[in-house]
Amino acid sequence: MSDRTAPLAPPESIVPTRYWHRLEDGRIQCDMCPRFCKLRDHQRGLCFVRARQDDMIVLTTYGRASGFCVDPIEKKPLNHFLSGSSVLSFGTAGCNLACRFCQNWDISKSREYDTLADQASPETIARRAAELGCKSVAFTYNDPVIFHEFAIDVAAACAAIGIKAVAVTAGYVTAEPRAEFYSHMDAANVDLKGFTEEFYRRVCGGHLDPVLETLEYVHNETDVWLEVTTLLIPGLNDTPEEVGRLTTWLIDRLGPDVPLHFSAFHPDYKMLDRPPTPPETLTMARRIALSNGLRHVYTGNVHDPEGQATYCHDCGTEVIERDWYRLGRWGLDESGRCLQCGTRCAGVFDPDGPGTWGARRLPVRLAG
Amino acid sequence: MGRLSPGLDSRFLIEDYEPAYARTWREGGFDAKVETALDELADCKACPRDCGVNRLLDERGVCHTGRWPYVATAFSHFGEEDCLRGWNGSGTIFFSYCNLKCVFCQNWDISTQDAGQELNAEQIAELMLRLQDQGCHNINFVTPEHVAPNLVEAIAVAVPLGLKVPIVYNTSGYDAIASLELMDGLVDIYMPDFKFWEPDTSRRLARAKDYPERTRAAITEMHRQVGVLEFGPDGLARRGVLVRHLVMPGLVDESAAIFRWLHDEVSPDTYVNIMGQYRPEHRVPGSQRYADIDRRPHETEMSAVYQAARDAGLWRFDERRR
Repeated sequence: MSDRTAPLAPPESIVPTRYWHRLEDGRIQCDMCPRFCKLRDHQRGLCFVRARQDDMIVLTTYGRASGFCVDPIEKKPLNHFLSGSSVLSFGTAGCNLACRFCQNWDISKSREYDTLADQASPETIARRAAELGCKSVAFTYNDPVIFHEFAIDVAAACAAIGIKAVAVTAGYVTAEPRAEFYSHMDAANVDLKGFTEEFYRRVCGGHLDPVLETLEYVHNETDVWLEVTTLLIPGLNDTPEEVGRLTTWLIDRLGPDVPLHFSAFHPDYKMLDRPPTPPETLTMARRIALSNGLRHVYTGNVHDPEGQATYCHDCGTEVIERDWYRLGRWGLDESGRCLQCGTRCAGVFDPDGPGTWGARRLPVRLAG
Repeated sequence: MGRLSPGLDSRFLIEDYEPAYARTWREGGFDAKVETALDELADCKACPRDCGVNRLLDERGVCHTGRWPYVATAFSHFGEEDCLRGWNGSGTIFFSYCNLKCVFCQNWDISTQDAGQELNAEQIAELMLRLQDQGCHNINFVTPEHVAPNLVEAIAVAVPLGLKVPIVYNTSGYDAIASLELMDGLVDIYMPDFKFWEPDTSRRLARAKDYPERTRAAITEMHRQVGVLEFGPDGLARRGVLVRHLVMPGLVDESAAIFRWLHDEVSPDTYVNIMGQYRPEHRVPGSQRYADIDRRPHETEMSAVYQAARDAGLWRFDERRR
């Protein structure tokens, strides 16, 4: 195979990594994610971007992005973190899961470096975020687990100038890199793609337990603000029973304050045989989650002002009105307390009030 | 008289005991309490989780408990402190579910599921009286934090039917002040277990970052109501606060901080049971994440914890005469 001698990536995009070890049979095992790819020289992991070169595992996409975009923070989705602000978002290429329904497969399954045309240093990204008026930078579209070293450097450069770092991730990562990664993050939206091992194994090519561990770790052992997203797919993970177990687990293990977003599937990638999720399914799931005690449950990708607003869990007043990503009435004071009853709404809110970015999506080029 | 046999110390002796609820009943204080209890259930803030669900409509929050408590078991318990179990046992009523989510829960089979059955006020009162009839020296509500309003209703039924033994409120300490105020004048013996001092520890191990703060407030309120532990001439506890401290592996410093606080801010005469029976349970055995508590406390840790308690100036310790 010609690949064996071809360069893995431009030299400036290759950096050494720490999470791997040598096996007795001569292969090297990548320990970044629970997939534990065992690689011979010049082989890439399933994620495509981590590979073996010169007797170690390297990241081959350092400093590369598949595109930058200024989004509303609500689009990540994060509904309780610097609401109304804009976030400079980017991803790279590849992914360490193999979800058959991937809604971003042009990026996650890309094997082409031309999807990584945008090149930028961590300092440039942080500076541009500030210049664009963004409060945060998000690692999204594909999973930052696989570009760990780059994401951490970007987060550190951001922290140096007061920009927050946001991870949008499937949480499929092992314990040691997980701890390092989240020590640099300010907020995360973690996908909980279903609540059966079967679903993770057959549909996503992974396992459920490591994801649950990430959720528990982030919520209970770090100060990272956490929200959770579940994409409901007709016939695969949308029974009331499964939604009930998922939400009971969340309240038992993470408590009532963690926001949960149910989003709607559209047929994509290798899953073209299933219909889009009907809005009623999202509404049903939201009702189950609320009755199981979760306080902040949202419906996504559908028009549903009731399911997208934030309510004071105590007095029931609508404290943040939302229509898609556009904010309406704001009912919290400078310390995030309900103006009606004074109960604090869980989350990280700007004391100066909500941002005014609105629903816009603005692609930007950073490459010089 | 030995320093470690405080039951014989005349300073802590009650000769003429009358249960707190008897006086409250005589003074007609029950109606208001029951009314407040029902109000609390309608917008549940029975514990610090502040779920705000309407339990009168059987809505459920963090503790999964609706209108009525799940009673897992009720029996005459000989595993409690000598001053509670005496010779006939302590009349324990264990409630299912819990407002804490301790990863090491020693009773997870009843704290994490609806063990037993839902009992209403009359049925709980009946249990209390049956235990009293069996000769139990007290009624010992175990894990009552989330069902406090229900217990007011049950006690209100039991008192006119002849309840006369003290009520023991056997709690994690993660109690709402509002619930303790409801218990003021009903409970004689508070038995909180103060386990963690650091918010990050209690968040990681019990899923409640505010546990240390809430427990300090709760014990302060308990002490305000009933003072330090006092005994009858028979050596049985009659009134006061008995603080339990389950020694966690590797957390000697937190134990020491708890003892200093008890001595300095509650009372140097606070009665303390230092408990060494922690064992890895529930989610801990074999887990990588909780490997630090996947063992019993070492002997050296136990002696360091005892020493820390004495160094703090505490001196009334529970010692079991086996």
